Amino acid sequence: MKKNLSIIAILLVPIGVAINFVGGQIAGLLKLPVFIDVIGTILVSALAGPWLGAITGLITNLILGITAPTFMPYAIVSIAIGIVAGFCAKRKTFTSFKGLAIASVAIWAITQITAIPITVYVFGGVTGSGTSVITAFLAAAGQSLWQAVFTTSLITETIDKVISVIVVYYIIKAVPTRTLLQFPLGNIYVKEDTNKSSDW
Amino acid sequence: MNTILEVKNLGFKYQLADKPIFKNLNFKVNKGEFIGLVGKNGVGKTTLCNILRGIIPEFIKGEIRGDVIIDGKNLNEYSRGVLAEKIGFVFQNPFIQISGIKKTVFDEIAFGLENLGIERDEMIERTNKILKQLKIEYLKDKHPTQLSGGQSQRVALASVLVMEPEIILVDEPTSQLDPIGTEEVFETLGILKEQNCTVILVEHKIDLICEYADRVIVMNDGGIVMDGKTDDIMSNPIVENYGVPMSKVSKLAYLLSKQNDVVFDKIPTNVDEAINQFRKGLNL
Amino acid sequence: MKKGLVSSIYPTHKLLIAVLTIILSIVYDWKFSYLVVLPVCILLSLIDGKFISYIKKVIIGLFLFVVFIFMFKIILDKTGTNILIDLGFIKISEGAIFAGLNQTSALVTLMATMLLFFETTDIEDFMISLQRMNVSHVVTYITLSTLQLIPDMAKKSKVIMQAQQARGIETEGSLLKRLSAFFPSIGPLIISSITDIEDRSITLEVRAFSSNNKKTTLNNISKGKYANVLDVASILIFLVLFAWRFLG
Repeated sequence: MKKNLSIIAILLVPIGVAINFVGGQIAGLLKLPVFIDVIGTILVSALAGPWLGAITGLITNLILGITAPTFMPYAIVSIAIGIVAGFCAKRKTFTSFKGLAIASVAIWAITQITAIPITVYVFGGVTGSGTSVITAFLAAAGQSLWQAVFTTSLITETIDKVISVIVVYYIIKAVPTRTLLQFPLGNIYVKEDTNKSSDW
Repeated sequence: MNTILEVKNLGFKYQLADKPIFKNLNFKVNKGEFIGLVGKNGVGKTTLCNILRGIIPEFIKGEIRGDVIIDGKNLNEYSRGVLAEKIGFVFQNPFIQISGIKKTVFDEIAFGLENLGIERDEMIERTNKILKQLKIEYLKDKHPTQLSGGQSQRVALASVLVMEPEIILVDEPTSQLDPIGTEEVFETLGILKEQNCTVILVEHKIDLICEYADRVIVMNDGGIVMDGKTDDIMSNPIVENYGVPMSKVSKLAYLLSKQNDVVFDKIPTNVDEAINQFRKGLNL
Repeated sequence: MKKGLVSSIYPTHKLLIAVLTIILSIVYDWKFSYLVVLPVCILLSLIDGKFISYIKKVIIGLFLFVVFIFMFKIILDKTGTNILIDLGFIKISEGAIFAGLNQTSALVTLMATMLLFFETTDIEDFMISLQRMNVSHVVTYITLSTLQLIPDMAKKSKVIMQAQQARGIETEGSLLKRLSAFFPSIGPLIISSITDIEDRSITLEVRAFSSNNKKTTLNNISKGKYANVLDVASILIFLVLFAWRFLG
């Protein structure tokens, strides 16, 4: 059981990372005001649990780091998102809208808790994206750096995480049962009885 | 003769299915045999391949009964790594049977040898040998994702053969290919036959089965219904009851003998034989 | 093609030097990063013949950060040190400039060294060198397969988006319209990738990926004559510099 998990997992992780990249790219092409670059991480967590989700997050940031090393410190955020999403999935939060709300809040909260200190301490309040303009504006308006970074993050991250969680929910609904059952947490999403009687 | 594979009372039921896809399968495979496995869609040919290769129940879940003996040892006593050296497997989807990490066909073919821990010099030698044998040297520097379907399938076959397995399972290698690709793949299968490899081939193109297989196993409704020499099985019109068409030449000879009283020594199954039989039967 | 000086250093040794340098940049002040690391890295990229592509990446990567960090330091300046420039609405003090330099110091070293590392290192070689250090072939597989998958999926996603546009899904217009085009653009791609996992896992299985044998690699990279000397020397230099910062 443990062994066959690994090969499926090995294949799921690269797909998760690629989805993170492509999600961000499509959001860019559609000129959406959000990043949507954690769908892959959350999806892997939802299907295969917290640790594989964490690995997906870590690798996403390391690969981003090849061309932009400033993403490397944020690996901590991605790992934390993977872990939290995975524990949410184990509690079956990706099976109902109520659960989705809980998962969104949890993922949103862990993002704030981990990302804001990195932004403030490592990068002096700057995120390297256009949103720094908001932070600069708030700082100029008299807010402290922490306040300014938090407010910026509140504006940009909230919609982002809610959309990501909803997308993951609909993707899992669209994956065929037979495929779902191959993943460690697949049973959670399958309504049918997976242990039918065996009189034949 | 040397039995390399034996299937005893094999049955399987998928996890969410109500009844087993097949039960009580029994057959033996001898070294060097080229076996055609035929039958309607959904009778469990691919399922059988997946069991023989250890993919069921490893990746696809369900309930399995009976035994598979490979080279004197029960299938579930093999570790997955060793099984990969024993049984090679090529399946339908041509574009997915690549490692996904290699930049050239040469590296792609050597991937299995890297995993087996073969030394570098031997790796290069074996890869070159297989490229030559299968006549695909011209592909060696191409990117594995930029091949045609037929080329991909031949590279998949090469990647498996380079590991020198004792049995090769080939599951509908041409079902997603165009006629040219199909032709290319069958040329390669012809090379395997010349070299006396042990092959189990699942294929719907009956003319091709008749051309290459020494023996045919027919599956229908949850079990094996016919098993014997290709000539005996494929010249027998009963196969059509099981959703397996006779080859074109067999059908022609059969109808001639039935409707026009042409007498043949036996119903031919492939073209070469048909020429001889028709010459004699029709006094040409 | 002959490899440049930096390119021919064995990957894990190069990475070790980069990491040690980054650690030093954290304990030293801005002079180390701005006056030593950055010029040396630029010089090395010149010697290696990679100057133009390297310097582009450094500038693109650093520009926004450096500009904004200095801006924040100036806006939030409470150091009260002597004013260098007075623009009327804002005063730029000496303290703010030094605070900016120190805040960006480690960042500059991180960018300069890691970008040089990746600019001069083939990822496949890097993976081979890791595998030789007994890092699992699974790590190699995940990394290389991700790097092949990203451009592949990016290409497919564009095709899908065009197809969806052709079917009448609006990808322009109001925010809500664009937002509702997001799922049809990415959904099919994700679902097909996930259903493909089964066949791909069979492929890996067939190629003895789960074999317990010690893995070998087809492509070879040489460590070079002075690899070990380089290793020992860089660690020694690091220790001396590290100790000097706190004792000296």
